[in-house]
Amino acid sequence: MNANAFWHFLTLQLVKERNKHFSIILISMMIVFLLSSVLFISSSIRFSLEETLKVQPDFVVSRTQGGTAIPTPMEWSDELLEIYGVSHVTPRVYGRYFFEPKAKSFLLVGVDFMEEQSHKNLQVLITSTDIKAFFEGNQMLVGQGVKEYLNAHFYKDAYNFVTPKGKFQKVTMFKTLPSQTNLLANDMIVLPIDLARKILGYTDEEATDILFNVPNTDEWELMTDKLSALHYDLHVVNKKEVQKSYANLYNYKGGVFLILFLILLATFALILYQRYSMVYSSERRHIGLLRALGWSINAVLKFKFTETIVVVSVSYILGVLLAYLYVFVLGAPILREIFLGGQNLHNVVSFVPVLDFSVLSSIFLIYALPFIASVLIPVWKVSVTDPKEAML
Amino acid sequence: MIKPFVSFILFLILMVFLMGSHYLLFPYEKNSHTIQTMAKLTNLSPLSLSVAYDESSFNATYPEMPAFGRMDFLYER
Amino acid sequence: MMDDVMMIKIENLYRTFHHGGNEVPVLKDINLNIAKGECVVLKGVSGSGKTTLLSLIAGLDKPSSGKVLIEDDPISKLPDLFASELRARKIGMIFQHFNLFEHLTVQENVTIPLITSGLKMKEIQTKVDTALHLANISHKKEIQAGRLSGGEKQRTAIARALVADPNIILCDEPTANLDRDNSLLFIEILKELHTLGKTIVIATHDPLFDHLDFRNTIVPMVDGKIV
Repeated sequence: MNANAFWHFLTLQLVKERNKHFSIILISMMIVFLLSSVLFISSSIRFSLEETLKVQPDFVVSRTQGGTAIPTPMEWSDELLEIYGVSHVTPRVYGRYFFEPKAKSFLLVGVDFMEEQSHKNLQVLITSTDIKAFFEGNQMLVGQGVKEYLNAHFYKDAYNFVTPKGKFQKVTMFKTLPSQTNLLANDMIVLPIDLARKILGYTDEEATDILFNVPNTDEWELMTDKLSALHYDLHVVNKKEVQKSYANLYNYKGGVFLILFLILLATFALILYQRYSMVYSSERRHIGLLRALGWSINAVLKFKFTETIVVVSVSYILGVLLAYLYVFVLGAPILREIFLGGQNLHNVVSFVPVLDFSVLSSIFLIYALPFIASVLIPVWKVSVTDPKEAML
Repeated sequence: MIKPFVSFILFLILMVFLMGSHYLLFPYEKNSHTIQTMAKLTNLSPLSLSVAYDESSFNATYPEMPAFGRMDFLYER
Repeated sequence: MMDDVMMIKIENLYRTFHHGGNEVPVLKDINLNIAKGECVVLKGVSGSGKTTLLSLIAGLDKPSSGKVLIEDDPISKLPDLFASELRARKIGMIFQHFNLFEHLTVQENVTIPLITSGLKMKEIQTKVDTALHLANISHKKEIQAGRLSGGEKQRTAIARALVADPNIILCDEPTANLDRDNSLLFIEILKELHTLGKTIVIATHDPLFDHLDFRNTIVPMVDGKIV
């Protein structure tokens, strides 16, 4: 068979029967689009999380009472420093602050700006402003969601926090954090650590938890035992456990995503079956006619296989393109709410483009193979029938 | 191959090319640097999930069990 | 003048259909030799088995027993690849209901038998133009087949049957869906093909074929047998 003539006829049939192919391409495209969008969003969030985890300390210790976290004593920092292999012990002060009872909440984070590293990090985040001005008076950096919410409630420049002692603490909004940090900091308020302690009700001797590094990863196992031996009410979390929980959550093979896959696969199979049973009789006649005009079984199968591959590839490419545009250019409106939630502060996140080619290949195979089989099996059955019977 | 089909394929190739360009030219370094700086500043890495934080849904008997209707299981407690 | 070379040989041919456990013999012990350049008219009423016989000659159906030889090749016993090749190169079939692809144009319909021929598109185009001219349908080549009249569809089917320049033309009730004028036009085309030395077999019950003005053989069939 001359390739030129074959492709000419193939493309002719595809264009002439575009109405027949259009509906199946549309359905397939939508399914690939939905699946790809979900996977793109989760891959992107996972990527961003893994980027932040790279710079996180190795261990976090906190104090618990009756299973609930309570303030951690600052003196634990000295005890931790005495353990061989521990470095960079840092207390952390943070907590939830409710705008009013049963209303939206903000995440207050206290930072010790006297530390040189914190100072440098701050300069990177708020590049175009005089940093020294931030340290004059009680000032805070707010996430974009916080800024919008406070503005909507007529707090344009400052906000009066209520401390646990019942006193008001006015804090001025210095600047909004960059939009690239929305994934972490949309509902965040960054304050000097002492101010944060005041508002959250911590004393100078208390912190929410304490962080530290253990550069030698071989010592991590042993470290947990050493820490548990320090205090009975000490709770330890290490970075590997956090990474594992992220991986489990965003592993497309497990949990929610597997269910999503299966539902989509079942829906697709049903639609495909219904669609092809409708066109079956005309397809049967066409195949019988091609056979009657001298086409061999191989020629018919090759033609139908190539036709199906083209339809599958076109719908897959269109679905992935649409998903890419929807997620990484438009920011996945509506769908992102599933991942980011919609109850607290509204978040607008730009997703970092992440293409996991193994996942994309899996989507293609899961979608393409049943599609091709559902087309080719009936075609083969008709092709091997005598042309006269096929044309009836 | 016939013209309408060729035009369509060329259009698809153009779209894939645009997508590829967007992907390759995306400022990953700048993005990573900003978000990592934020994480270094606060020492916090969990997502800013827009969930209603409700203490009453916490079960003291089974603290490891996540509450229904929440996605804040990523927060380090 | 007819050649002594036998184009089509049918030996002890039987065809039986099975309907819900019952055996229905449609062809019984058919023996027929058709020489090169001969025109044979299989005459009989509906149910006499002439269409079935034509299908067996074309290789569209398989006999229950017996042989059909096309230029000494046993078409019913060949592997599919060779049988399809034979059907494509040596046999041109004109169906009763035309069997065109309605969504394709006249020209596109006529191209189909040559897609698997291995010829280049330019060569195919030349052959298609020749066939369209022969069938007197060139002026309608860009028209969609679904929009043609009965006579025009018939001429498209003729062009498609001739495009591969086959030696054998098989016609199954070719005038069943045509009016008298178109039927006479069709017979004129057949006459021209006969002049070109094609071997023609026509299955019909149309009385117009009783008195053709070119040399032909009438083979009457009754109840699956040649009388």
